Amino acid sequence: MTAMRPISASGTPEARFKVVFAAHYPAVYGYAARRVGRDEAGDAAAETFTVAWRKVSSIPDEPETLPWLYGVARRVVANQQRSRRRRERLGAKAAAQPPRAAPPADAGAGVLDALEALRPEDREILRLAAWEGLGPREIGTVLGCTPNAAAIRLHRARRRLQSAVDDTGGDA
Amino acid sequence: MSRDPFDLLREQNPMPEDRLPTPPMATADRIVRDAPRRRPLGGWALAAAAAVVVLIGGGAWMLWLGDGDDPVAASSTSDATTTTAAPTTTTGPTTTTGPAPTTTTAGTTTTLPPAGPNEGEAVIYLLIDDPTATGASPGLMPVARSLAVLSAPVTDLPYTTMGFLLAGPTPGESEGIPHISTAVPDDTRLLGLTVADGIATVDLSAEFASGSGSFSEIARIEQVMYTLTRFDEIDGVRFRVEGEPVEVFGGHGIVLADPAVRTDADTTLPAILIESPPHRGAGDNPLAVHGTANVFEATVSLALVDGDGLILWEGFTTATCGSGCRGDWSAVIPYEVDEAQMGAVIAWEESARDGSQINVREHPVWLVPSGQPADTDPNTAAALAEEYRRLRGEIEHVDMMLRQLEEAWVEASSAEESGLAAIEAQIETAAAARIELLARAAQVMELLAAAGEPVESGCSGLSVAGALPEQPDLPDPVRDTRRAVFEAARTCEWSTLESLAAGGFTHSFGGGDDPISSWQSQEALGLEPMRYLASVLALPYGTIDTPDVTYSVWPSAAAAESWEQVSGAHRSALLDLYSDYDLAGFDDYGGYIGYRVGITDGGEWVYFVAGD
Repeated sequence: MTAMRPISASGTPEARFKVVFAAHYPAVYGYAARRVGRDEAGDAAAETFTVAWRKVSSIPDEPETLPWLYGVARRVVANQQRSRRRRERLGAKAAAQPPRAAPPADAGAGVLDALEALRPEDREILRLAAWEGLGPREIGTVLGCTPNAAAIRLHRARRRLQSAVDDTGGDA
Repeated sequence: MSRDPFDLLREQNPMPEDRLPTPPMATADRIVRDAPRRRPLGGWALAAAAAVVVLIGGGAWMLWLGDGDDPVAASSTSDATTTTAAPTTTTGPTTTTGPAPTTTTAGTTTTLPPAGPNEGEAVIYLLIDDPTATGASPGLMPVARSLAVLSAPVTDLPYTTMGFLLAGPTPGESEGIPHISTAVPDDTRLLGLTVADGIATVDLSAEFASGSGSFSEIARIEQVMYTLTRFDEIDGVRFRVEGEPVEVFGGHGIVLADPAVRTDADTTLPAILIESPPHRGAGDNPLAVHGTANVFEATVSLALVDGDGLILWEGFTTATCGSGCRGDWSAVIPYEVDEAQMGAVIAWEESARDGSQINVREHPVWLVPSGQPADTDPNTAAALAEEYRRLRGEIEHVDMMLRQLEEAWVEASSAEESGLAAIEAQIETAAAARIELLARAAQVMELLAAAGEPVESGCSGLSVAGALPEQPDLPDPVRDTRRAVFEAARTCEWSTLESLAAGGFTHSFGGGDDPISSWQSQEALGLEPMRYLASVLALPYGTIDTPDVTYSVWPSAAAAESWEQVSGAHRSALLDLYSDYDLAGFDDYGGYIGYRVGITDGGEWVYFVAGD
């Protein structure tokens, strides 16, 4: 009867989900923390795994699992940032304050300023490569493009990061 | 010397590996407990379904079911032969509630929909409330209607489309938030529709001009006009009511342009109109979106979200005119989804005052993975095969639910419990879902065949025991034919069946293609026609005498004048093939309308058919 449905090698969907959760929660939390800060990273990670549970039959096997989770987390984070922007706008309306405080500038973080000046797509691919340590193939899974396209986009983003550092007068 | 900033960036990792937390397994437990997994049937909830049967011009009917969120449609399967109405007769669409006479059997095991005579969608204009502006009048919105739900082939698309428009919103749409409505009065009938020289002349019944409110009167005119002028070949619309040309419409003296065209009718247009894709329409990948808008600085913000409401793409586009005039806008949205799903395209204006979202429009839209466009590409045979397997799995799932529901019904009816009607409504819903899944699976099968990778059909006859009970009273020619058909059905010997079914053979009241290919596709869909054929022949038989010829008929119930005349023993014999619920359906209908076989006393096999 159910032979038509793909049956996971690791038993029930619950068991499989928990294996994936235990293996990858830290990395997903880290991904979120690097983008929205530690305060909201827990929520983002939980939301990411909630989506993953709803789609448990589509979670790819290793080694694709984590890049796939990053792809989900990317959209979860985008949603969180959107609703935060909306909250900030509303807050600004109520308190007549500027909507968004500049991100805290770490010491010696000229490169972070340069990163912020880039387009969102460039920013994300650079973070995936530098902070999550992903290669072109995994980046392709996260962003939904071929490894070749990911490699080209990463190359271009690195070039633009270089010129942004030059422009902002970074002393790197 | 400066270092590569990329290496610097690595050192600036705000959350290095060694500071990551341990997985909080309690959170995993909570997720599994609280969040439902995606239901295999998408939005087809079986609880509290509302059903409306709608007659569409030409005599075909379709069944709308809604759970307040996702309407589902199914179509009639057996009415196609009874309709002779030409598109311009006076029998326009009417709406009734409650099940149509044939719905009790349409979804069980007795009939198969024609393999999707229609593809694509019609688009009608309904009215939707603006969720960001309470108290404002609702605005026009194009809404998709799948043509696959119609039982008869569409010969006149504008006429069929008008039928959908007059039928109005589905229960799910009218109960949803935001609320989708129509200003066209109930019971308005389409009396005629002709198109000539770019002008459509539409003739509607007197109900169209009834009712109150000047907004409603303008809105219904604009709904009809926008719906018809969406067709490339129609630029303007002339209105008639009961055959009389209309110059001044309704109780508020609305003067109609002759013909009415889009450029001078914008009362009901929202600030942002998404023309394409329509509400619940099929999307391509990438998704082409266009519409019109009259917004501040002509800036239209856009987002695409997936089935979980997560953003796939966000951006904005600029209309050709703004801040007080209406302009056109368009965008092509790239996206990636890992499986086809109902996402949504959202368009809005950022308030110049506070940046909030105003004039929001949201169209649910069917998203497909890239390389798998809505209209199938023959190169995607693998994707089609996967879709076929998925549909088969869903059909089996629905079958299982149906069996459970039928058992629950039988239990409830014998215990005279209340709640019978609720179970019946669920059965209707599941049966309708099954019909639509079957129609889709049949379409996918055709596409696979066209792509050179036809689905291999199994042979359900093999599950029937080899011994055919002797029926010694049969005339010899009948006995020989019976055995030959039985053996051929058991092993799906198509060539033998073809020669046996030569001549005036009936396999479907809908006519259609030849019996062999029809049975083959039914086998591939898992409908097991050969199991039914062989099994029916093993049941007790009856005879039907006509002045010219005597037919031997299996099962005996099919030869009885009415269900009441079928004895208890002969009813029980049917339980090999039909459930107690099906038998209750025969009782309700007054006769057996399941599969039956007829052989003349001369040994000619004349039918194997189901339905009424």
